[in-house]
Amino acid sequence: MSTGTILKLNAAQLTDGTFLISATDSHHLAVASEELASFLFAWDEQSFYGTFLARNEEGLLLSPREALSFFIDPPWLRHVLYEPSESFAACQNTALLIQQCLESASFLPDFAAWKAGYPGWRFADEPPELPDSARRWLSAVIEEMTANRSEVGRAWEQLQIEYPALTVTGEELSPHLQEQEWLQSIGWLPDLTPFRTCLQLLEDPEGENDWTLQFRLQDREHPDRLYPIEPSPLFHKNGGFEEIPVAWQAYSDRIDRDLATCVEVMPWLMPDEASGRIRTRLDNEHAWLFLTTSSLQLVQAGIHVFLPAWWEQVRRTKPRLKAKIKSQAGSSGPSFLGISQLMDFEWKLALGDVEISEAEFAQLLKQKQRLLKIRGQWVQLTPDLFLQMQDALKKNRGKNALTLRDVMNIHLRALPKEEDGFLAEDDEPQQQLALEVELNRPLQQLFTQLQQTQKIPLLAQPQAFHGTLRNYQLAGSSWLWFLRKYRLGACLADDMGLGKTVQFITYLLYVKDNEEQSTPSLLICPTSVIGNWQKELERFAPSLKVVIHYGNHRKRDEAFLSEIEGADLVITSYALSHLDEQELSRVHWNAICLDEAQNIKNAYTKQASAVRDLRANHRIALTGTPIENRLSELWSIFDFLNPGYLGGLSEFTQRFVQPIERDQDKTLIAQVQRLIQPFLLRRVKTDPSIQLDLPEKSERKEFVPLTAEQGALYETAIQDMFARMERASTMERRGLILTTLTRLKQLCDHPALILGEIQAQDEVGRSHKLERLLELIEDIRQKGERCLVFTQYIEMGNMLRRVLIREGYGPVFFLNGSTKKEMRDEMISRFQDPSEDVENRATVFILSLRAGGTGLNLTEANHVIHFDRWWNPAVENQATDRAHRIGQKRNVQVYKFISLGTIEERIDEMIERKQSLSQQIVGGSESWITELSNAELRELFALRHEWMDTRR
Amino acid sequence: MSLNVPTPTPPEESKDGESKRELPEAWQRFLTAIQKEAASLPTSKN
Repeated sequence: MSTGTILKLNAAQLTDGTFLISATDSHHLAVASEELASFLFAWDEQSFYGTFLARNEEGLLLSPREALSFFIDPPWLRHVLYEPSESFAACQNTALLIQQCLESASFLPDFAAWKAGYPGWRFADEPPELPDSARRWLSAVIEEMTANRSEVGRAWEQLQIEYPALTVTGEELSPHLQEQEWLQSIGWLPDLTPFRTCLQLLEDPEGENDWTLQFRLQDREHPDRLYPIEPSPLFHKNGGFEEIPVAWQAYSDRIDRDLATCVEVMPWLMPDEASGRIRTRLDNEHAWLFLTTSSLQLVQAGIHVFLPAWWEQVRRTKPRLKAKIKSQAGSSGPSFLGISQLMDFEWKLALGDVEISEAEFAQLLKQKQRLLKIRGQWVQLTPDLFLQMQDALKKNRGKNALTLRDVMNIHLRALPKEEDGFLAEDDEPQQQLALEVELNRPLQQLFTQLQQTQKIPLLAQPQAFHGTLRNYQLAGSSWLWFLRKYRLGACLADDMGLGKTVQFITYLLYVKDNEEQSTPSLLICPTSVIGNWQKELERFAPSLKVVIHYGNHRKRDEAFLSEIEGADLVITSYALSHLDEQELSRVHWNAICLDEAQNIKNAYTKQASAVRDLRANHRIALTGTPIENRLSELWSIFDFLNPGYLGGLSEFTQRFVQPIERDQDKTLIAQVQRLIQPFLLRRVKTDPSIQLDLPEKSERKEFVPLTAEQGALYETAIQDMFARMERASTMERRGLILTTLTRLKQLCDHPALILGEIQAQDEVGRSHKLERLLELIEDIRQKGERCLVFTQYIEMGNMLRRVLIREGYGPVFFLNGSTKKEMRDEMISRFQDPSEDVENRATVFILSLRAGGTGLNLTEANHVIHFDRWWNPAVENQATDRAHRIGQKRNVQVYKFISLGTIEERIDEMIERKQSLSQQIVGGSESWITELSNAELRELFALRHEWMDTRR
Repeated sequence: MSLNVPTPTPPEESKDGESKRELPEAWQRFLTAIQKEAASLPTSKN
């Protein structure tokens, strides 16, 4: 912008009410919209200095309200010479007029505008030369104000509630309506008539198709005084004065007018105009019309209406389509049931307390009645309901049986009773037909037991079980056995360390004790815990014959079948469940159990689908993670347990996952919880009924500074990332961020990890974390205790092991994903064996978080050190629970290592604050970081120097 | 159509401020809200 710029300004009001501001410069050339915004709105904070203004190729577009502010006081710049055109100057004048009018509230509703179809306003004192556009502008400004959720908007809403006539515009207004009457109906002018005309609908207590429409005059001062009148189009001529106060007779014109309005709203009141008779007897069809439509129109026209007291209840009653299960279904006992068991039922339409059979409904359909009295109660059958009901019956035509899966699905998805039955105040009456199921007695009992596990009979501990089960463990095994009887899949999701293993072993013993010998059961688990299972089975149920199907020498084809002959349980890994699908699918297993069932969370993997395709009498999933919060994982596990119960994945995603993730829809969350609850048993350690008496667990954070070398490398890594990001595509950017994130986290552990040093020099001195670890381990050893050290990085584990052995802490075990099963079993058994002599006993067990975080029992350690941080505290807690579980006799001390001023500290802060990171995001992966903006990334990654060690 | 009752004085015929007092409360609240919002408009320097 240069000094002395000249702008010739033009203004025009467009047909939609917005204003176009344009300008030409001293050369008569049009000024571009961008430039114009900077000339006119350089100081306007509200429009963010012109940035948020709408524009087109000709100029800037202002809403009526924006235009008003602008024209009242255009924010001129000093160095620009503005030359307003005539149209621009006229807008300035009109703006001032509108401002005065609004400030003094000297405007009134414009009847002509309401008649034309929109709420419009006019000036109280309109000057004769007022341009036509001024009223339009005034109306548009007020409309803009009322549309906002501001005080004006709220006051306008309230006004409309009090005077419904304000909502009637255009053709809906009676053509005979005069301005004065209209102003009275909207409350602008006082209505000095001493009464108001009312209509009351009365039913004939004896009849079923007979109604009376009573016309009355209500005393405004004493509303309880109501005077019936004989309606006729010419009331004042035909008389009917006898019943009303003498003083009111002067207002017979008004009565005429109100009656004319009634006939206008309900032309069927006077089918024969020549007869001049207004009917007061109605049949059901007209009563229904009056209740649903005419009454509202009458209120809007200023006529009061009294409806029967029950109408509101009928109007809000939610229709339900009931599948009534026939009495014999499920009564033959559990052996006849199963998720696919078919049950006979009949359809019923329920409206409040009234039930209509399919045959009755067909009859009603022929009568086409919309309001009718059935068994003494009025019910409303809207045309919409007819269609929905016809549709639902058509879909299910020929279907005279439901599976137990259908029944459970309908029953559990329905709202709990106290919430059900009526539409909410703001619900649309014609909403979807709610589907529900009416259970017979045996099913009612089954459902009660499924929903209240304490009602399931508690079985005694099996004779063959070596050891003593805790009460909650017996309850868990009894629950598994109960669900088995009904062939319903079960997910035992107890907290880590509560003994899911022994509960499943007990279940196997119940099966062996109570059923004929059949095929073996199959247990699929992560490779890392096969040995653990083997040991636990030997210890608690030595009578069970167990076959381990694992390793290079495992049997194939026929040899496999011979090997498992007579076995009670076959154990294999997830990897083999897919590789040896051919062998495993040849058997119809007595039961299949998935340990750490979250391994099949990705429904589309070959492993997950191979597992789902296996055949079994009963399916069980064991998991220690609360799966109810992770919907896709939940689907995958439930589709294994009870195939088809939650519908297909895409249907489930569409119906639940997307709306829940998008809106956190509480009703849908509750629905999913109700659906899964009967098949999910989860107890936590803190549950008072568990009475676990586990020793205490306390946590301590070990904050450690970076060394100067680490700090320098850290900053270089960040700078390098931002430099490369400038040239990167979106995909490359994501990759770059994740790589840098890993580098930074590794750096926090030790610089040698990112420098690729195989055998680093001066390993201990280059990482304060490592120094601190050695100090801690020394303390632990001094006390004669043991510790677990978790890290995410194999190289770090190797370095730790090397350093610890060198420093004289050997033997040191390191368990990771590549550790062979035999080696793994030996490490665990040696670490846990108290008889091992002191010299040979390991003080430290290093584990990779991924391979050692779940399923292991390492209670000989009572210190747990997390050498680096993971985003999800649940993953760290699971790892900690390797030591803090049944069998642990000492208090457990947890140490979490955090490098000060680094990404690790930010991770820790986020976990602590739990800010906007939902469990879903935190639990998933680090991919959310790749979606952060550059500024957010800088904030997350930046090194806070105050914590850096500058000693070297 | 005429009524045999005294015609009420329309509010627009009265002076500023007075009109609002004759109106029902809901109307008064609406007009007051408009006035408040109008007060937040800029003041003309002309």
